[in-house]
Amino acid sequence: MAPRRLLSLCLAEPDDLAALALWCQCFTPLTAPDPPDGVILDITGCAHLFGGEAGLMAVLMARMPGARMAIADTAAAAWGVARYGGALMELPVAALRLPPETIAKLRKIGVRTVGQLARLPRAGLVAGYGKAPALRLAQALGEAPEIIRFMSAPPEWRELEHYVEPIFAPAQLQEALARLAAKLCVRLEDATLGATALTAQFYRIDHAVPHIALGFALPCRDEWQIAKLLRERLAQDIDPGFGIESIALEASAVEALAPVQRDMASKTPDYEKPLNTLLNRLGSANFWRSVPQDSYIPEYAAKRVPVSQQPVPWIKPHHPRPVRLLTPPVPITAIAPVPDDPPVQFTWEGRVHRIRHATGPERIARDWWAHPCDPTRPEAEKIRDYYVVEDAQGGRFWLFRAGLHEGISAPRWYLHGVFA
Amino acid sequence: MFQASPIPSASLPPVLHVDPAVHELRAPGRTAGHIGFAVRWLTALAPAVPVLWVSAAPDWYPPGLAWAGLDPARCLFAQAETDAACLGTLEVALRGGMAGVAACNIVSRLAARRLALAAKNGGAIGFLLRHAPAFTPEDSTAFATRWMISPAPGGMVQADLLYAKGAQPQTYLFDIREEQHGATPPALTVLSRTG
Repeated sequence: MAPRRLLSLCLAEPDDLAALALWCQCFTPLTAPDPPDGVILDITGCAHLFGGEAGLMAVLMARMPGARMAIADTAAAAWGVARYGGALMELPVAALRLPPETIAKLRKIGVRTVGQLARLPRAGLVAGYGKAPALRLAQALGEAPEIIRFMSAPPEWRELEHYVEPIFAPAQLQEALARLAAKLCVRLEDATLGATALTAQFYRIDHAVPHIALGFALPCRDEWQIAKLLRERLAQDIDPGFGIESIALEASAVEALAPVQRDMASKTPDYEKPLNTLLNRLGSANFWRSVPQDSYIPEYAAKRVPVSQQPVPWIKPHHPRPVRLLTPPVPITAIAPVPDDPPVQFTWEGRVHRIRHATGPERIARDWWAHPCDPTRPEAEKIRDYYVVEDAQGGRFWLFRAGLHEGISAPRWYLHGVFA
Repeated sequence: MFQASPIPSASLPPVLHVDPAVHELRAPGRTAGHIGFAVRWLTALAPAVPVLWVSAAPDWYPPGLAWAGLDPARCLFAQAETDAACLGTLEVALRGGMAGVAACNIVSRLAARRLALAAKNGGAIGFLLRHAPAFTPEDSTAFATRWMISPAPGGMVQADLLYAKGAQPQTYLFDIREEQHGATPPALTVLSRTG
């Protein structure tokens, strides 16, 4: 792991440190306010974007004249160097951010610099002066971990409501959700965005946070639709317990959504509403689009993709394909003249079907180049010969024979589909 | 690309051309003639209308739908937990103006009425596919038509119109024309009509 590099920034007149830390996120994603007068930046792997560490410091200096800053391997060392200057070992012990009484006690025994402190035996230091000097020294030298609470930017598309009295009646919750959805949609509309994922979090007074997650097939900023979908899930997913003190509604993913002209004529049909309702009712695993896949093996010729993806054009298959595919193929017993004739009769779940017409075979082999060779089962065993057959009643089926007659094991017959 | 001729309308009673409606298609077990019938009916719709296929145990095969003449890119597939959830899903789709096909075996009269109403409100066409005998105790008159689609020997399909509002029960015999290499689109041609 690469060594970490941390930059400590010290301001003469600190203003709002949290706001400054957020602003500093244009240099690195990890920034934290460092009260009372500074900000700490973890610039590991970010300095080269600004022309190295010197370049980064020059950029910061140009924007904040009068600020003092230093870069070191640990946050504690960077803090000390930024405020006192020079090499770490030559700094006064105050650079370790120790309380004044500890500094006074250390001065009594003649310890004035960090270097002098580092030469003292640690066990005796802890016994005589408490844990603080030894811990701060270890943190400055990178021997002990230091916890820094880095900030994350507040979510952009989030609406929050607090309640003086906890609420729990379904009608109150529904009202609150409708209000939040309306507020969020106004903001989304101003930004011409639509939500593709929404989360409603319910902060209960016992600190549990049940939530409702919504997904959308198409970006949506229709407050009525959002409120309706949330209402549908409210009763089954949310237990208000002893009361809910705040509710947050956040659009966790947004996409561009152009404004629509609301006029009376020339209304283009819009399937966004039923799609979003179905997606949230069924779940994304149970609602899919089918896209063609480049495979001759019938099971792999189609692939499920989420509904939110754009449809992919299909081309018509070159050979007959059934409308129902049985997965996995059903083993049947078939009577067929050898070697390559279609069966004359087959038995499926105890019922005998006499075959009157058959076309085929359509031979489909496995894509052998994509699989490791198995000497006990040669590729000939995995060849499938498909036949379209019609029985005496007119039912049309898709059968295949796996394996060849001269193979290691006797060929097996399967039913794979039913034609319309 | 996907030019399937719809069912020739001239030979069918005019009551079948009521567009927003739900049709019930039945078929004997182990056959899929009703799926093909629904597919050929759906191809007559505007190509922009998405088609929802829902079932508790979906085994539709998109290349097979493409072979029968319906573009699978128009289709959305859903799996519901129960037959009742299937009908609820179909209802949402129909109310939203999508075309819908649901395969389920248990249909109450109330559900049938709700589906018919949803189709009317949404201006949509829906199909209910069932493996059921021609007459059951819970037969509903809410659906615009009720058919029994059974295979007939020689590459033909026998479609019995069991019930239609304002029409007599009849029996049609269709020929499934399916060219191997796509010279002619698959089509159903009426061979005979009785009743």
